[in-house]
Amino acid sequence: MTRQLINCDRCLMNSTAPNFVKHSDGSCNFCSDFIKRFDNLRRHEKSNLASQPNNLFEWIRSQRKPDTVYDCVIGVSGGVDSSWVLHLAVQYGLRPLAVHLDNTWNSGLATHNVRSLIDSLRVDLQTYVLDYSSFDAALKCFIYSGVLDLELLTDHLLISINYLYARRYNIKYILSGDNLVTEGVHMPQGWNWFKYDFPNINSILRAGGFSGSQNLPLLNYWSLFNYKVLQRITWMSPLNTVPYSKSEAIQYLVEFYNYIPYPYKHYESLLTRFYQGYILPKKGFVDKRRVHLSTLVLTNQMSRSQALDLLSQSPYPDPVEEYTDLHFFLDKLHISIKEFDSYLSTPFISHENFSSILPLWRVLRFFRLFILSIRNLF
Amino acid sequence: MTYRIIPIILLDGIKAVVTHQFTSPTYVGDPRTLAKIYSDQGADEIFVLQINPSFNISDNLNFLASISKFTQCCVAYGGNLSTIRDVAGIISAGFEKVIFRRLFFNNPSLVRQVSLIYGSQAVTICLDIVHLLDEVRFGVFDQYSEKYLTLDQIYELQYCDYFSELLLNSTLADGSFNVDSWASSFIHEFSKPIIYAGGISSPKQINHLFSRGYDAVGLGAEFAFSAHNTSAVMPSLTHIYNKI
Amino acid sequence: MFLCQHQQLYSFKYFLIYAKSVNLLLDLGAGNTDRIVFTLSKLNHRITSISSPVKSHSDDILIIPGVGSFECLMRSIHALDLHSFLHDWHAANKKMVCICAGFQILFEGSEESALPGLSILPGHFTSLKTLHCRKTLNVGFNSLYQANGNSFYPFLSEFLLPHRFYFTHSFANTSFPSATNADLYYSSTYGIHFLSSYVSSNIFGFQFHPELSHSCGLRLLNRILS
Repeated sequence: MTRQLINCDRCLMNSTAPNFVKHSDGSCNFCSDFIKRFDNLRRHEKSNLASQPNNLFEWIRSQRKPDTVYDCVIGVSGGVDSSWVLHLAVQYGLRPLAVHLDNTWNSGLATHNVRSLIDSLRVDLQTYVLDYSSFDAALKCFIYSGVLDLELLTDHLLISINYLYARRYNIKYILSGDNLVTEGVHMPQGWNWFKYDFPNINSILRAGGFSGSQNLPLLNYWSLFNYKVLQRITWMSPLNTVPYSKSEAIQYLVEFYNYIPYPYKHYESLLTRFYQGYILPKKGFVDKRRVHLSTLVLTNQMSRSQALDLLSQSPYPDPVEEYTDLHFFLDKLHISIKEFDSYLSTPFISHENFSSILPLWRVLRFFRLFILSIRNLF
Repeated sequence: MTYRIIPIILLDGIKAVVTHQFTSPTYVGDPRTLAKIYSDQGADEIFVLQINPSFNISDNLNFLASISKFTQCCVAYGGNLSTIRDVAGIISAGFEKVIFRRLFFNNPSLVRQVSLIYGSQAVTICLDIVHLLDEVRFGVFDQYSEKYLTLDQIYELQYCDYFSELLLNSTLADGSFNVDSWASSFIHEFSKPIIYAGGISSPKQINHLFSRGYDAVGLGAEFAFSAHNTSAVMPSLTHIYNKI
Repeated sequence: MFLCQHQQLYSFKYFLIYAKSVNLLLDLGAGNTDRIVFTLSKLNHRITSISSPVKSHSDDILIIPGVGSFECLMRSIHALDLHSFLHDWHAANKKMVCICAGFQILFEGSEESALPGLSILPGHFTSLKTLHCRKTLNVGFNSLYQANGNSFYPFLSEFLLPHRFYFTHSFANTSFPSATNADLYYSSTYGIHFLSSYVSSNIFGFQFHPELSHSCGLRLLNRILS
């Protein structure tokens, strides 16, 4: 018996999301939560206009110390958001250090876009190339464990190397491309995992028999404490402090930096493209495009009908690319087609089946917020 | 006239590396991904050269096959080829050409044999450009052997039917972002296509080499690194194509 | 004699490829057949490898790839008793896609070899050296120009200039066979025009390598096999 899907009337989320709730007015918990946070952000911006510079870029510039070479670290992947942050940083007179994590799954588009940008902007780039034997072996552990978030490892390592280079070059600010305008709708419960969950990653790797942890720059909590508290390195999302239209950003990047856009978000990485376009829909009936496109609809960057039309198309616009990516994935990871079919036919399991810091993290976060609110009272 | 831009992937075992004068290899990633990137970016051909003398071809054919499999262009392989079985394995693995360097001097009859079976268009000879005290010579100059040809002998090679093109490789210029001085000044009238590799770092240098008679250029470190920052590993062809 | 001794040592693969029905891959023991196999698999065309004459259907397509010398290909064809099989295939007007050396053997002969070709098409291949070309190897990307007024397969005009295909050959056919019911395409290099493609009711012959010609070549193969 097929489950009847319930769809939100305002955004594109539906009951494939585990924690989806449809309200009586036709909207859902995802879009309502997003609208609330988006309005709060806009109100916060307006109230701060008088007290600080217009945007975070200018504020960072104002914090510049003498005898420093760089003002900030910007993680670049070749995606629109990070590329736009890099462009704006240079435009506002900052001296960014671009940092790229190469997990050896880059697409030709991604390397073209990053190279075009850094050459045009004359920005210094540091690339951390992961040992591919170790990374692929670790990735296989994630696959065989059955957990959903196969990008957890890359995302975790990305955070780690950004901190690493910030520490190395004595930089206090890491600018990310995170923003409410294109990715504000929260990822549904279970569709990804907490990126700082070092015990979870370790537990999954140990269960898979992985022995190459020393070859991967994993971020343990002592390092995190050192970076955040002792070194006072701060992550910031500057795109939330400036007007940001994704389509206009793409147009500009294409015209001035020879940028080539991707069909969908995060498709600059071959692994991400295959994971989001092939594995997630087939194994878990998860389509992350719903989340990304919902944000664009709710911020009026795309009409709902346009977004629905995109959603109705295959996540892999090109079947030849899909076939090539499938075989590249299998060849690179030494997985047979039979093993992979068997993997796809079983459902994902929760990361909670492995050790996790998340319960403790939530408690600590609660106390932190509690202490902050008490402090604000006085 | 069809000029070619050929990215060169150096292998140290199963890892892609870039070198400085063919020493001090720096790891730059997975050669399978790199080959796919270059192909997706429109490479005319790709050369894969193994620099590790202990690499066993027969034990790694599946791995090598994965390098060429995901490309849509001609891929050539060179390094540690010593028997017809090695060559057969490489061609079966999906490479269209083989590149001989030391074997050209040590076992020319094997080179002839390969040419007879697979056609001379499948055989490329690689010679190092070696600067001696008072002249430039061409051959093999490394820790294992020293064998040279003079420039006149190079011109005699035009009449050899066992191979179809010549790769002149400057060890001195490798990884330096500067083209070999002899290579950039000499004008070629060689009847077989000549490829130059070593130290190329800009479209201006490439255009200059084409004007000197080279038919193709091999690019290595320039793709891996950005010229003004050697810690910036970012393989990309397209910024070269746009300016040639 | 020398070549026959070594034919067991390596695999020389000729592919007879069935398009939608059956793709036969003729295994002659040379060449990068895996490349063609994967390329056609990407286009959702199945391939079966054969090394001797087999029964086939009328809408099957035969693909003869080419990395290999003219001499070696012809020796393999004779050794595996495929000469009649290929002639019968052509006589039955069944489709054949022939690439590079696989295309050259359709003709009467080549300067490269004392052995004659299949003589399915008239003409000879001459070395670029004999033709006094500036270079003795034509390697790189080149465009196609239509040599006659026919358009047997109109869709092929989509693949003329500015599209470019990858060539690598030392021998060329400059005496275009007369063809009233075929499309002839030439390419130019080093001052000569040579036959780069011959397309008739059942033959799709290419001097270039569509499987090495990026998306252009892929589209061409897909159009032909579809």
